[in-house]
Amino acid sequence: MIQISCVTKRYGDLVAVDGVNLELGDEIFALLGRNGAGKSTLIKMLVGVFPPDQGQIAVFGHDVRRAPLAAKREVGYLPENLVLYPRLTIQEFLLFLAGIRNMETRSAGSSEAEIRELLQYFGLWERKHVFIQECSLGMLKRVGLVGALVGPQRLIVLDEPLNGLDVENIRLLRQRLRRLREQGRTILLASHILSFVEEVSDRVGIIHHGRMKAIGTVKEIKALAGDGGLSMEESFFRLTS
Amino acid sequence: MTRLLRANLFDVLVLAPVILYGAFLAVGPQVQRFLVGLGRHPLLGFSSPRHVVLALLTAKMLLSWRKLVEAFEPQSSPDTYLLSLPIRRIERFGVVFLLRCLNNLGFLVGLSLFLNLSESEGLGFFWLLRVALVVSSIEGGAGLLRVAALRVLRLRRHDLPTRRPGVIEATGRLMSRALRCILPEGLRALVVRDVLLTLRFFSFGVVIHFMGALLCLAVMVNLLPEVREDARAVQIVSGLTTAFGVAGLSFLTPRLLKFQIPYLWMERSTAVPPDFIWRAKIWHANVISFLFPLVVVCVRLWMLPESPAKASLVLIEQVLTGVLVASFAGALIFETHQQPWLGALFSGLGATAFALIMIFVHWAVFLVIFPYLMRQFEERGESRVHYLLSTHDTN
Repeated sequence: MIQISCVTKRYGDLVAVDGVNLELGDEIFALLGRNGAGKSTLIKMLVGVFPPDQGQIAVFGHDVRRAPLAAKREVGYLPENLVLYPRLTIQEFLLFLAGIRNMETRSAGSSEAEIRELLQYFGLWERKHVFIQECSLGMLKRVGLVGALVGPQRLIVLDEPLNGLDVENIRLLRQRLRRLREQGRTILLASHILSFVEEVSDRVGIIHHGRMKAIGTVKEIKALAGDGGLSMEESFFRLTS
Repeated sequence: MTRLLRANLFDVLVLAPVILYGAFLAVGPQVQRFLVGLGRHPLLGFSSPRHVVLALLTAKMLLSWRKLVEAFEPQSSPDTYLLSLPIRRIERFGVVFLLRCLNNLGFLVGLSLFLNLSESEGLGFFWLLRVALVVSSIEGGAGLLRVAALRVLRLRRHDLPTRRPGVIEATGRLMSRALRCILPEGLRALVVRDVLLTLRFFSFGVVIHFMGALLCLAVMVNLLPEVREDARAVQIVSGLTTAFGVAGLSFLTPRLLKFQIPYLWMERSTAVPPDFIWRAKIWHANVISFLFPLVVVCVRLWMLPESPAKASLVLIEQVLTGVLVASFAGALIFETHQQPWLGALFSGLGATAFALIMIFVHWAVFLVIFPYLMRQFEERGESRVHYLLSTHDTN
């Protein structure tokens, strides 16, 4: 269970996230919002990149401020701006990530086997010795996705996971996310691709000017917008205008 | 094309000569003496200056091969956009060839300074110019051949289907296995990553640090014959060489940390304890410099042979000095990565002090100093890591 209670973050005078409350269970939760709405800031606080100014965030019972290491142990994260070491190969980077997540120690198994399975799934196994600086945007995003998914962590946070992915890989990601949910993992994703969100997510949260404007299933969001027959896009505009 | 020429001409015609001449003024005579000594060695005695020049040029050609291919057919650099502009291929190749000629000529002129090549031996400027033209033509021909082969096979360089793991990648895996018994998993991953980035030359500064260490070695080679009668002086020269060489190499660690700041989101979003991050930097400083004391010992024993028992003591002394200096530099980096010159000053002072203590007291003093130093720095180091992780979000 993820609990976000009255979380606020300010950058100088700008209130990026303003008293947000949210609870996540074993589900796929999509965070929607315009550019600068506060999605990435909320995500960064959740994964422990920086602490909230006010409020509390608990990841499976671990407070991100009081027990940051225990909380982070439960998180796999794909950032929006994926900055990876250009002079490491894909495999070296993923082994490094698995290493700092203590995968071998925690799962008492080989991290290489899981990395191999994920690389094969996303069609990167043949290119595991390619340097990150030589990867195309789509390859880079897949490397980041593998990095977020590899390991036994129970919360997967994906910030704009679809940028640069082709149709085939979007389908693969959708299937993988559903499988992870069935395994009891919690998935939080932020995206602007409403059709993907509509198809994959159990619940949706719309954040606007740092405040959570609406939370619910796609059906409930449409009803909140005033008309259950509206498209997701139209509902989104109505709720954020 | 004018932009390419303008950007590179400054390097070739202004920057390179200034650096070359500066380096010659600083260490030219020492390097010349070292090379003369090396030339007299029975193994290398047959080589004439002409052979040395050609050997160095071949090495340069091999080392710059990837860069050359990239220059002819940019695939991963920002110059890739040139391929989409209406520029004739012959023009682009012409500029690359011209730049290679200038680059090789600059390199050869530098060599002629250091090797003291003279007109009377037939190794004057026109010989250098001729060699530069021939080498550039070979480079150009080979580069174009490879570009053509890829084009025929309809492959871009990174589309090559299976890239084999390189030597450095294999080194990383070996190192990871070797460290498995000594270090916990997370710390091991950090150390292997740092060493891989260093071996892959994460910045040009890496070359400078390695050259600095070689310079220390060159100075030792020049000084040892002059002090060979005085055992204490020999000990001081080799001890300080180890200390300064190791300090120079381990000062790469703060440079690495500065390079890593935009990538720290990985450490921030995963459960890496701050003490792992701190200890990883100490390990990095030690790993990248651990060969240097061994080289110093080998060179010293080659020049001034000792009995096996004495040689073992020299080895222990130098290795422990190296470990102490590298660990000190590594432990300090979270204090000094924002002020590199201050860090260099502290590392230099520390290196001198440790080398002299090991020489004038006893090498066994290491067993007291090392644990004391690490204990003193540990808590502070961890809090500095914590501060760095919580204040430098660039992602």
